[in-house]
Amino acid sequence: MRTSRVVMAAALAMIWTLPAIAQDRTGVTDTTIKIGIPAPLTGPAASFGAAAYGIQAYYTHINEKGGIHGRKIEIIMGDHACNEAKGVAVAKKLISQDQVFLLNGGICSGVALAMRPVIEESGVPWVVSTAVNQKISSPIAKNIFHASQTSEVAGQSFAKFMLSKEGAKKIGIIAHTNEWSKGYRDPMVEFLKTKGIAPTVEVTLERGQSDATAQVLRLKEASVDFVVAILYEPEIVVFLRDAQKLGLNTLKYGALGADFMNTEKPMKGFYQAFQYKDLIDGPGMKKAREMIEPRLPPGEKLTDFSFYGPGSSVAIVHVLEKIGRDLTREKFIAEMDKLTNFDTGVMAGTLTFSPTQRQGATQLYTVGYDDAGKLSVYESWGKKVSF
Amino acid sequence: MLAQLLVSGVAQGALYALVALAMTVIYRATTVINFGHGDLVMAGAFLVYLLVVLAGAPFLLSASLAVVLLFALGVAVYKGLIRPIMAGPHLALAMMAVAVGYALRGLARLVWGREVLPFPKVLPQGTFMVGPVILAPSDLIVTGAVIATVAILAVVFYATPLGKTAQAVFQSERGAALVGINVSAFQSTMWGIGAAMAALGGILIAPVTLLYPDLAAATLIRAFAAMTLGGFGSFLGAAVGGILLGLSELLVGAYISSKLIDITAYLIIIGVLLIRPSGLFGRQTIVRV
Repeated sequence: MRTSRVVMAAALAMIWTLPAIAQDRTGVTDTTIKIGIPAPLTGPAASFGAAAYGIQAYYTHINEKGGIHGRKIEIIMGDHACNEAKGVAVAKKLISQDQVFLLNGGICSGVALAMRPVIEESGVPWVVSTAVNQKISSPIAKNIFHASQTSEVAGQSFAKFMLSKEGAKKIGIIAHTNEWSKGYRDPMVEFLKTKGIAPTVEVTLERGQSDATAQVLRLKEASVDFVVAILYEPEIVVFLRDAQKLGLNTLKYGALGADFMNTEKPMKGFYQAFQYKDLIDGPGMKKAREMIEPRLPPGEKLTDFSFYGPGSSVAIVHVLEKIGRDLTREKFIAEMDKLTNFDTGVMAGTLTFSPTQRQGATQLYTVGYDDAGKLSVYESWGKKVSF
Repeated sequence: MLAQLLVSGVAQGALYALVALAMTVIYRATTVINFGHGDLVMAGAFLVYLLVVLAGAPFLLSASLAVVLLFALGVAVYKGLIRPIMAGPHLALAMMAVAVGYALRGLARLVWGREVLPFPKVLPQGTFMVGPVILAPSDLIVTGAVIATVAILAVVFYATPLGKTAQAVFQSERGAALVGINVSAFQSTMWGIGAAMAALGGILIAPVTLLYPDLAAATLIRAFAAMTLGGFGSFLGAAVGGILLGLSELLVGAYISSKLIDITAYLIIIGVLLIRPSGLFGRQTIVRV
């Protein structure tokens, strides 16, 4: 009888303490919160690393203000050079060796996809900052939050913008054949199909090609209302150059492949998907610019891409502040799942997450020149975003 | 559409020809195919960018300086890296050339790697019509540069003592040395000239696209295809091969599928090696024993 009481008491003690044991505080000390940022800091996609430096700058700003409930953010960068094998190694290092509290990064979609199984298995919260492939966060994983507009959202947004122009029905596409391009093209075509529209012509311009004459002539022959260019930056330049040379005067829409500051000047009739609240020198981005620009590392110039990560970081800091001092991974995940219509002050639209919705950014704007030649941000054809 | 494709194909092919001609100069001198040549093209373009944008120098001066500096680089690469292993297997020479190319690319990434830069608009802008065909000044400049280069190389290599030296060294280095030709000095000069021509290629390619470290990677394989089609060692072959490749790409892209443009160069290499390995203008080597 005495023995059974002892056993029962021990069992009850275990039941009461199990929730405390299950709360994971890895990466949190009295004075720091470790955040890992996997990013392409070197290699052929190193220009996208600007997003990681933007995240770093934002966290530096938070630390300068005193941190979060007395804890400073300790940033650990992991350079994967946009290589899948390196990305897996970086993820493992940040999780097991550096023991970060959470991951905030994911800039090359292919690498993010490769990292996903490792991160999902580890249970470490991961807030995807920039990569667009929707498969990174679908199917839903308990610990993964996709805080950037996915290519599915983007592809649908391209179609919505084009169709918002009255009479626009004939759509041409020029794109790469890689996974990144397909990630935009397929949802766009699916959405067009729901409106009874199929692309009139589709042509390919592969990476590294320095001439688009054949492609432009075929697009010109098709007399389309809009050409969607799902191309990386150098190839968009090649396409626009040859389109201008050969008189392809139709409206053009560029995907999220280029730093707009390099591509757009000045191209009337050329619109581009835009993931931010406002132009980076516009009033809507003033606060973000003031937080990030002065805190970029020496030699790092402010570009469009510098803002392509910090939106997710603003959400993270907001959630960490809401939780308070008793910080655990489980609480972080639970609080992220409650985020509703959260304005990051950087990204177009707002962020909303829930246990059944982990792709939190569902709105994309469009940028282009208005009739007065002023660069403007649009919600739909002719309708500018207002602040 | 056909007329435009033909004219644009010639202009595009001229770019490939320019790179192929430079590779042919090096090949004629040392029988080495410089697989790092694309990165010399990139280096030339970045040098001009450095001088024009960062140092504020006038374009013509910058271009001239870039050509001179690349010449010096070509000589240095030959003397420091190629000549010490010339007696070894050809594969080692090819690998060294690749390594030099990657080293240059890595250096460019170290300095600029995270930026895709707009090259200064140094060529005349705008377009003009010739009948139904639209031309840009850059089309004429590049094509003119190729014609001039072929002419100069033809005169130098076939009508001057330097050309005789080149032929002698190409046929037999030992024989050339025995008759008193300074083979090493000749080969280093040819590497310098090849690198200088790469700079010229970079200066003409970069204004039509953006400037980034992988700029000329795709052009290299096309230049190699041009050399294969035209015949290794033939300047006329390199030029004609480049232009035929440019025409093929555009015609295939317009009339069959734009998805095939990227593999046209590879298909040409395969076809030529199977059907006529010596290319259009190359000579088959007959060894009598």
